[in-house]
Amino acid sequence: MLFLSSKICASGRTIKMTNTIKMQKFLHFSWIFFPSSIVLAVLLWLAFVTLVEPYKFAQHEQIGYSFVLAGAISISVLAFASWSYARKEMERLQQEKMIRLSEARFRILLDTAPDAVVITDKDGVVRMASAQSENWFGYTREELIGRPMEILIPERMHQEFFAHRQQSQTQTNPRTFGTHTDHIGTNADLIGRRRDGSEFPVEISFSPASFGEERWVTAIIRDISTRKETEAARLAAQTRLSDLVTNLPVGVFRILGKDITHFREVNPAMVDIFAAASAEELMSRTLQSLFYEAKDWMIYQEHVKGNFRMHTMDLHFRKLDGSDFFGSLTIAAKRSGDGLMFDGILENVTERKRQNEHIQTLNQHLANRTAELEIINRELESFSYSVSHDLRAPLRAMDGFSSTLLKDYGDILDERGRDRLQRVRSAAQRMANLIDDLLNLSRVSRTGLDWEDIDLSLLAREICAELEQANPQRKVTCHIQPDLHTSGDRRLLGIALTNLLNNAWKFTGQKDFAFIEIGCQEQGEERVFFVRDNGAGFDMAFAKKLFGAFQRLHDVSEFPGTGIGLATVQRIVHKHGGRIWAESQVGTGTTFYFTLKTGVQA
Amino acid sequence: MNNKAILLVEDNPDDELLTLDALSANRIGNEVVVARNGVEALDYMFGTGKFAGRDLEDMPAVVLLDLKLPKIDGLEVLRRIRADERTQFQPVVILTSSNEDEDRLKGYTLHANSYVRKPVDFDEFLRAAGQLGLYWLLLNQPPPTK
Repeated sequence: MLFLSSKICASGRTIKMTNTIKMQKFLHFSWIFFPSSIVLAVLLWLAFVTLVEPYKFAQHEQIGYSFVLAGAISISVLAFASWSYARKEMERLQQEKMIRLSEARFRILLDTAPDAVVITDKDGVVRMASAQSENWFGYTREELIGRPMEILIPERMHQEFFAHRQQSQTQTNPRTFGTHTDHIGTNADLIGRRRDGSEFPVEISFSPASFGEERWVTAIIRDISTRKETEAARLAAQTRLSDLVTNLPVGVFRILGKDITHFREVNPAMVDIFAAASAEELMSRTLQSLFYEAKDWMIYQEHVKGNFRMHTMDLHFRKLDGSDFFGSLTIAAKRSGDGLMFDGILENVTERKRQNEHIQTLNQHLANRTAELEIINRELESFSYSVSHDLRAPLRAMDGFSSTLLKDYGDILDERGRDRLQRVRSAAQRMANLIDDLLNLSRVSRTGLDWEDIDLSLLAREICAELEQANPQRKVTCHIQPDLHTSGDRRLLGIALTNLLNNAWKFTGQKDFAFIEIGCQEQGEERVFFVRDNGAGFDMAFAKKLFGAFQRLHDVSEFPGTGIGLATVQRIVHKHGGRIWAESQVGTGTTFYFTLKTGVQA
Repeated sequence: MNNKAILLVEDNPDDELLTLDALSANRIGNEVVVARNGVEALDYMFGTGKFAGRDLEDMPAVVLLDLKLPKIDGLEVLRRIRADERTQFQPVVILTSSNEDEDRLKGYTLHANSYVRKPVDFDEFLRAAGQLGLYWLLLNQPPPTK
């Protein structure tokens, strides 16, 4: 581990760099100096041999040679020594350059690591720190180096941290401190402390490293805030789900495919449904014992063994206290790593079933009642038919034979006899009218409405025209407001309007100037139709009796009638969702008002 | 006025008498054959039963048909008359007490030529009988006989 050399410590770097430059200069010099000194020595010797030889320093020849030789040798030695030094220095510098390169690579590696890396000596003193540790903890590298690593940890955790760090030095494998244990709730989390005192969750992994005699430790610190948040969110979601299952009023259970005779998991609602003391008690019981009827147990087994998705079905269950209940059971088969399992829900539907049965009983009663009513209605119809057909025949005979009697034997009878016969005829005809009116009334009640757009003005004009035609001797002014449109049943509204106009016609009979008005006025949101006459009128004290069947407010001798007309009108108006009322003053006239439900199109 | 018969299908003797009175009061002298129930009416129309051997060329000018009849009711009589090739064009007037919508609807559905309600007021009945006689015996052109 070259990079652990103290030389590369930041503090010594500047001085070392100055020396390196000097050495390089020297190296360049020695590279030139060494070969040139050899050449110089050879040249000196040659010069001496060629130049000095001819003068023959006889007596000093030996000394001269020796001197020159010694000089040459010493220059050579010197040159060799300097070359070797230079070469060694060169090699060293090369090595240093390699180291620096390696250091730079390492630095890049260190600083680009996503985790913060802090290297300490055996005493826990920071010797190196990566750029990420500066970022995360807010210290500069210079501030970190030389200080105990504990400054990165809150004080309350120092003891624990120290112990752990110590322990890691004796280990050979990396150990991680600060990770979760499996058990939720045990807080084994380690906290990092920033320079400003703020904290964040971290995970620190220690790797012991021997460098020469020294045992160092690399601490890799990971910011696990995001992971913590994710974990917390997942946990929250799990808790919510688990709460949901726990709090559901519906029984939730799981059965494993390898043991389909017992519940594997149950929620509290299941315990309640089966009146068990605890989930364990319920899970210890065989499912067979929990089915009230053997056939339901068979149904359950068939479905589970067939791995079918069990449709929701009502089965009969037995509680642990022996009582029974009806449960709605739904099971879904699911294949997972542990094999087949069945998850399901169970709901006690005894009360619902009871209510359903009650509703069914009520429905049956209603159906019976409806059938009875239908029979009654049919009887009523055939009764009406009989009334219409059979009751009229005798009346026809009474009137017909009285008539022929009067005609053929009138001259035999005296005035009194003829009068009595005439009375028989009148009575028969009145009864025929009564029957017709009654039939109309019952028909109104029996028939449904056929909604369509009605022009009441047109209808009123037609009726008035008929009345004028039938009573040409009368002079009645009919004022009809044009375009009185409404929706309703044409036939029934025709009957109603006929009755009202007949009344108006009848009760103005004793007026010299008879006036009938048909119109409409807006009262708030409502359209109120009216039929007004200036006829005999009635005492408002009897207004309540006005619409009752067979109720009459006038003497028959004065104004003939059956007393059924207005009852029929009221029934028709009610069938149209409307109201009818009257305002009257004796001798001045009567106004009938009525409303009809608008916008109804059946 | 042609001299064809009138077939009156009527179970009520009072109504029968009144109708006959009303017809004679209107000076309608044609023979009036009375059938007192649906079976008799059909026997007359098809020359069966009581009327076996009757000349079927001689069909009534009009059938006055009551609806409520013993044995076979008026609507069924009408249906059978219309269903048979020989009588399908026979003028049939429903003459009844009933004013029920359903009866009228059924009558016209079975192709009754007319529907007249018997009035209680005998004066009106007389007028009705007179008009019926006038119309069916005098005005109306019967279908061609084969």
